[in-house]
Amino acid sequence: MPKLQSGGEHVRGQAAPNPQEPRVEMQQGGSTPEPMAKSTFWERILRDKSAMTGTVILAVYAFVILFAPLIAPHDPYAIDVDNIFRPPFFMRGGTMTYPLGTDELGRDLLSRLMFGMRLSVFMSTCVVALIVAFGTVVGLLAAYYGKLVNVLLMRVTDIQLSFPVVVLAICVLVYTTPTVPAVITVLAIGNWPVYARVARSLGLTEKAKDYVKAAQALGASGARVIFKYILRNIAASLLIVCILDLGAMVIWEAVLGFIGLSVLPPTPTLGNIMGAGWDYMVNAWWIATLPGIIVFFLLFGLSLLGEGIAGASGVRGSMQVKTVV
Amino acid sequence: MLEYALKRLIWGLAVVIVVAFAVFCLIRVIPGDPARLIAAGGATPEMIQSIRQSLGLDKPILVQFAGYLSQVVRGNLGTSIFRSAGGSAHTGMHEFLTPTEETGVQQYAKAEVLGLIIERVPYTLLLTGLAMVFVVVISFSLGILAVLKKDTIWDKLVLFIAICAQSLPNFWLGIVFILLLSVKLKLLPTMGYQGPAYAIIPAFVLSLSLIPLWLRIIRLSLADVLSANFITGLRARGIPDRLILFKHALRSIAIPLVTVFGVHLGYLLGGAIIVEFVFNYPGLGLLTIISMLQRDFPIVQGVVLLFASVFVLINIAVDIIYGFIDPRVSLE
Repeated sequence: MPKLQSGGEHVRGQAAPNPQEPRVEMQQGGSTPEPMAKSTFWERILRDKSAMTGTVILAVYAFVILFAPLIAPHDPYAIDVDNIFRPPFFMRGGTMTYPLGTDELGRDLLSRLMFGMRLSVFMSTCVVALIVAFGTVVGLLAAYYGKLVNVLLMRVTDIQLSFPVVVLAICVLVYTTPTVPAVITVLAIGNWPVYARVARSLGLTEKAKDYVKAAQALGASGARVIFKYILRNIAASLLIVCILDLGAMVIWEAVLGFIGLSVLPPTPTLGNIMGAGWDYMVNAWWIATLPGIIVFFLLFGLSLLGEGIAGASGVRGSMQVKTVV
Repeated sequence: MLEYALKRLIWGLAVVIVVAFAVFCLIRVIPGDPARLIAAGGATPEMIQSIRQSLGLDKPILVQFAGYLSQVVRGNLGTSIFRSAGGSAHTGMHEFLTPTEETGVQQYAKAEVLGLIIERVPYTLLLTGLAMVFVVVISFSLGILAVLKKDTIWDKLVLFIAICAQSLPNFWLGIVFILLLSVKLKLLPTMGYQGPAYAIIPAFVLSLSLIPLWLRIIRLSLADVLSANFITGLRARGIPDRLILFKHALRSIAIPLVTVFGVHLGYLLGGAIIVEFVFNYPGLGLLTIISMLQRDFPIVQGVVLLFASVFVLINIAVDIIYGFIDPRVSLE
């Protein structure tokens, strides 16, 4: 977690506590105005009702994902030919044995959704981790060292951004077996330019600030400036983008799964359950529809939390949140 | 200014060529052999080899690409491997068999890629254009509502709508719409295309992904501007908020919107792919997906070339417009 403590301590020499600026000990004479908000980041966010709602939702998801093997009512791969296309329990013909109905092979949908959530979220987390690490480093390097690195980065991301990611994904995944690492790689390759750009623009903003010049004047090396100072300060903004992107990657996986290019059945992912259900929309609409509701609430929780963090840490909303598909 | 545009155009051309080359290689390098696909079952290795030769697949990649480029500048984007000019379906072998009296096989003329693309462009334009109209209308109305009634229930409601729209996978919403409107309620036909009305629901679904971002930008920028000093001056003179909004504030949100607009138009072109797939809407997106799955690579190349060019041009245009709108920005 980035250190976002601020305001609680009155720093001499600074006019108003800004959570974004590091606490640089500068001794200056003269009187300073009282800091306005004495609350810390944690106090603010715990008071934010919608952020807390989001956290609760995410906690539920985390619980289901972690304990799926223990709490799923059935084996997600167990085929039961006598019970194919059972509707969910709240419809006529549904039973509590299969609370959310069954699919075309009689497999329990609830269990498949639980395991599907697991895999989808796992894959999205891997993708986000990869692109954040890689994209941020590249973006910050471009921002800090400028000139050639910068131009190169811009052109490369231009090239990549003008390539519809769907086409890239289809290209690669149609012809190689879509295993979990393959899908993760494709999504990572398709989405890293966004982070590079975001990190670069954040880095450029920070670079113009005084504390960077101060550090440079004190003789700090480039790497030290980037990692110790700039990174610390943009961490909050990056974190927010990460959280929202986690959701975006889940949707990407769902899109790929829907067309049949994500991990193949019988391994359940939210995407391929929807894809398989698409064929049975008229008779068994629940197979394709319920996964979408699960994705919706996941993103909903993530958005609430993201907004809450943004509000509590004072980050301005000029963030470019990349939209999906 | 002109020099800047020229510089960007040259870079843009380079980008487009690189993208085209990347797709070119990707399709040929990946396992799976179009020659074998065309030949279908029961073909001898010699036949496959002769097909490969006639498609030029046995030459080195750079040579193939150079040949492709030289054709492109002449306006020939190649011919489809699988689709015939008349629109009939066939396996593709027919072109390679000479018609004789015994076999009686007719030669089908292959569809030109450029023709296929041009045929579909209007549909995708309709879809994209309508989606953009939805985005602008909905996000502006909701955004202005949110700002005028800041910090009231309306503001929170608009934010809630934005979060909901952001959290829905848009193709899933498409599925739900099809389910509700066509299957259950039997209200509107949703799939395919038999008139411009068929573009409405797909366009709406497509617009939902962009609306949250626009809403935020509009809401934030308007709120910012409204609290700026010159606005306070206007208010002090008794000018109503609504007038202030329309005459002065809206002008200053043009900048962030223009920035995002370029990316979004590009996104719309690509995002239409999935939506067209779900709704079976006969646009460029559907063409792309089906051609990719069939490995009809001339079509795929042509479409990617088009997408890349359009995206690059839009970005250059956006940058230039940006330079005009904001006098503080100088084009380097």
